[in-house]
Amino acid sequence: MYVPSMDVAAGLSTRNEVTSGIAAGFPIFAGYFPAAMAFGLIARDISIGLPESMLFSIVLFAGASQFFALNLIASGAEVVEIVLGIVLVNLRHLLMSASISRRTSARSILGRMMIAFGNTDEVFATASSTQGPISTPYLMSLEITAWSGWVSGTLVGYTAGAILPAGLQQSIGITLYGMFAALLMHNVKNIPWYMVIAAIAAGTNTFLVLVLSMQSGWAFAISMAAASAVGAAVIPAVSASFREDDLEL
Amino acid sequence: MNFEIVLIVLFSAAGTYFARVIPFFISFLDRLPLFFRRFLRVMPVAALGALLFPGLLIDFSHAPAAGLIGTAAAAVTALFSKNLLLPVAVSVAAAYFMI
Repeated sequence: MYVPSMDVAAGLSTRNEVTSGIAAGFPIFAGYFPAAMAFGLIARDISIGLPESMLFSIVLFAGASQFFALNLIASGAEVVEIVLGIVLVNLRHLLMSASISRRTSARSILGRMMIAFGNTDEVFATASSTQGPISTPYLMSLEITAWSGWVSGTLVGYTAGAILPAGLQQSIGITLYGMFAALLMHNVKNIPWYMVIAAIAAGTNTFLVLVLSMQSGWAFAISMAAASAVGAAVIPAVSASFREDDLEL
Repeated sequence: MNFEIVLIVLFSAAGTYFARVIPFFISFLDRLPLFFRRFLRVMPVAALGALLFPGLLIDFSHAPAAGLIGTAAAAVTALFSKNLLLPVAVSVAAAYFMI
């Protein structure tokens, strides 16, 4: 008996969705790989084991906050401080997931739980820039591609730490700050007032840590919250380019 | 494995995943006060500022010039480059040159 080829058509379009998800994920892979290498290198540098470093990248999968965690671990911060700091930094994902979830069609609980996992800044920015609804196979393959870059980069970076010349290893520490500065400038380019918010956070944090000798995790949380509150209060009034619905980092 | 680090990873991963998954099940953002939405919106930028300083000064206290020039080089490069790779590579080169 001939069955109308609904399944074949669905299979084909799923394959197309997967292919375009991988293709869209490749630039993220290429960006994550070296950044994760830096993470692996630094983790090794501050004597965190390979299994722990891999665990970070596999289950946390959150760029800036992993580096932040390394900073805090190296400075001897307490577990509670570090966890609080990381979760605070990642609260912004509430906004991104809210935005993405309106355009996805995943009905099953498991489906939604899976596509939520890999919703990083870069995945969000890429998926949001497509037109129309976002299919689950597309988003899944986009996320898996990005995640593979992050996880494999961590492994390679950690392993490469043993063979890199000392001078280069020393200057590798700068990658972290180079990355923060680059991310900041990408934001400032669109909305110059962001520089003021970042400066308030930087100034407050410096004061709390260097002058008041506050522990770094708490100082970070306080200065970030203070600068965000100032920003939320004044930026709609001062910046013409600030848009409420613009969620991209 | 170091027990404390495993704890850090698992708890922060759970918190992060919570923020990523909740909106897929509950839509609450439209009911959130505008101030809080703006707060969340500008938070990443505030985080970046606090991540840069004083960390940069502390980590590079042995070579402050290398740290500052390397970071500034990345910032300037980022104005002309959309990806992250080039600015980061430039910062390593600049810092390596200075050290």
